[in-house]
Amino acid sequence: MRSRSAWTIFWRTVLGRAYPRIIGAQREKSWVFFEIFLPLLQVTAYVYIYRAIEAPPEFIGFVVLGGAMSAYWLNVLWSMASQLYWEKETGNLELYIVAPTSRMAILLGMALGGMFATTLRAIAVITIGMLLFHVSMTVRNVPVLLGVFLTTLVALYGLGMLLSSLFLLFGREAWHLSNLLQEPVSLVSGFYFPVRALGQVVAAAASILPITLGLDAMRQLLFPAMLGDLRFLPAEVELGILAGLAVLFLILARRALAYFETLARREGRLSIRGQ
Amino acid sequence: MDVAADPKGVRRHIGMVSGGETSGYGLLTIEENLWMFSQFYGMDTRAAKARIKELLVVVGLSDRSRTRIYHLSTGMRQKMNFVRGFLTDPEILFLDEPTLGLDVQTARTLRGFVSNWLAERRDRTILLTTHAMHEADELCGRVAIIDKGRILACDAPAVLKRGLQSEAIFRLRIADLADAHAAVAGRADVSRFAQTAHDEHIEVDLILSSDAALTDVLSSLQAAGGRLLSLEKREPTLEDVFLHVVGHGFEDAQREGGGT
Amino acid sequence: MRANGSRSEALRSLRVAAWLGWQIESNWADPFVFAIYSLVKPLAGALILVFMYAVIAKGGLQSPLFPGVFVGNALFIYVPAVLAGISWTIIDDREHYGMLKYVYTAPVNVLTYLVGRGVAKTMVATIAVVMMLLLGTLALGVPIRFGGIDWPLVLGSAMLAFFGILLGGVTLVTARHNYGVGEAVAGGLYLLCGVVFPLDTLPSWLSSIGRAIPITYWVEAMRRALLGERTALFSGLSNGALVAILAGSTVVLAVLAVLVFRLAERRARAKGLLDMQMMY
Repeated sequence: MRSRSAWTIFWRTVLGRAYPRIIGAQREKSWVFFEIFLPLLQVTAYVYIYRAIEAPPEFIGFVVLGGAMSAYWLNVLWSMASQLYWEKETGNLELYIVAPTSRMAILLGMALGGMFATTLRAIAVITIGMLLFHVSMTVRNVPVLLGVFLTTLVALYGLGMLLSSLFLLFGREAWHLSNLLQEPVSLVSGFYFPVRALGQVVAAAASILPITLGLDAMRQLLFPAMLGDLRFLPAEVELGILAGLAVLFLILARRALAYFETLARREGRLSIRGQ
Repeated sequence: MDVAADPKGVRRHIGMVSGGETSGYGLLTIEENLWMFSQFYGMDTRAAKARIKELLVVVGLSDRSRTRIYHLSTGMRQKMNFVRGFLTDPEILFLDEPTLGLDVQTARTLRGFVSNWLAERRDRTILLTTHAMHEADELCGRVAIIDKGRILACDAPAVLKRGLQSEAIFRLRIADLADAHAAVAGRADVSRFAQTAHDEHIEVDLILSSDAALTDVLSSLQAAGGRLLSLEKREPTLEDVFLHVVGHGFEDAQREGGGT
Repeated sequence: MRANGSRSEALRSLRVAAWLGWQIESNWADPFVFAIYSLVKPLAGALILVFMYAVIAKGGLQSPLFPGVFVGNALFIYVPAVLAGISWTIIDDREHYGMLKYVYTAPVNVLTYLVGRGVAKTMVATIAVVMMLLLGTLALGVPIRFGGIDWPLVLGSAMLAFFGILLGGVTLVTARHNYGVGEAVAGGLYLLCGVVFPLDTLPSWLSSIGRAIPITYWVEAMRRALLGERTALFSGLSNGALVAILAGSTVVLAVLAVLVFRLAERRARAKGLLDMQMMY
């Protein structure tokens, strides 16, 4: 066993922890209802608000895209940020700590598994949304679009990993924090309207959340007709910032995890339940 | 190896199974959960699956390998936890009250499993914490008796028990007496005393300085109104050792947080 | 005697559960938690609407639709609070605290226990609703008649608790997902009950579904109670008729909720779901 390299343990851990997310998550069929049908209802509500106030058709597309991308944000909040807290409550965290693996690998496994499962949901939401509301998108620059999408995911799940280690120490407060971040982020990240409507200062502040720039850039690339009036920054600049955020969050997540683990271990909080 | 300086290095050598554990993910099967844990130790998938299969047979869970774990009973779950702990063949395994809350049959199966594992691998170590003294007696090469955080005795069970052989150990069942404490405790010839209440009688465990002291003790009990139902002279057990070194009954010690 | 016993058991369960919910949900000593649920979350939700109107609608916030939409949105805070307050209790007790099986083995009336746990959330929601209505009046010019509220119209709110119990039943036999079932269904009701746009904006088959859901009438009743005006779709419906519809649907829903809950309970017992852990 000693001969197994740290690298082997790392990537096997990633696969091991991703597995329950990929397989387990599909096993209870109720997920189709909860994670596709209901988000679609939410999207539909906003679509009809725009219809009621006779908004230009691109706005319907914004809402559909926002609805699909919000699946990732919810996944990051509820299945990444507060996850280590749940793992502690069920007793898994103790076993993670005893195992000779890196906690980063466990978080990465959760992230990849969550990303995969959420991508299925997001694709479903966007496809059904486009068909239902006759949204037409023009994909002009596939490589940049793909780059923006993937970088957004890396940065977003990097943030999730960072929050996960922060929340480890907060106990039940973590729950409230996740709740705190749900609607306000929908507002300031512009899930349902272009973030620029909030003004440059708010948009700039909201850019610390990768989903803000990711959404803005993807909207520019998919609905180029709206480009001039409603974009916050040029898509290429947003891509650059997203890449920076991705690296930053991963480094911070790693540091925070090591710091909080030491702190939690010293104070004996890793196995206290029911907090 | 320094545990504090190199926690990660230590983890390659250890494993842990606790009693009443609820680890794992409910939507995965036993086999899948175990495989997942094996990956945290970097095990090759094929080797892990073969070992899982083998260990599930040993603990009698092989017919349940594809059951999702939220369907498992406490006993089955603990058997799975055992397999998880032994899966990676650790050099040092921590068992924390591993048979807590299990039925007699399951507890016996698991103890047998631990004994065999140790017999086959002389270079392995198990550190068992338990309140079940017979379990410590059966499984351990050395036993430390800890009370209020201090080690009061530490040796092989046989050696610890031999230390009591010069003394006389009796178990008395007495009716018509609610508490034997006043009649017995404090006498010079009674070195240790513990009692347990039952429906119709009390059970009194005594360690006397010699057999000769018994007559006087029985007279005192009779004078206090007690009626002797049975009397048994016993070989010393680890529980007696505990009683002897801690100075009070085992159940009292549990209430106060002591253990072995 | 028996009836008295079970009534006192039900009341005791309600009281204990409300106390427990209070301890868990509303940590009043913590202004941070208070701020999240009473201010930040509802404010963000309302501001999304405000921005949608301000940026896109002709006339912005002066659009004739805006007051009804704002008030509907503010009052709708009650719906997820009550629905989720009750159904999330099942998940929390089952998977987090591992308490559900003990609730079931104790001499407790489970239905009133669940309602009790929902009470704390309802109280937090009330503060949020009042805050939002004040914001509407003071900052956004929404003409709310705080002095002239038509109280009989408010009584239909009891119906929400039965909706919560209905979803509690569903939760008993389903796994934990990103969303709780209460929040999720509330999302659907937000679409179908004419909360943030006139119901006839929807395709006719969807608005027919909306018209079959009692919460649509509750939203209309609450709007009339606060704003005094009827929406176009229900202009033919008098206040009395509205109250009658709400009373009738409350009774039907009560019967349905108890029935579904008992069925789910039986199924959960038979399949051993009362203490399941379904995390992944």
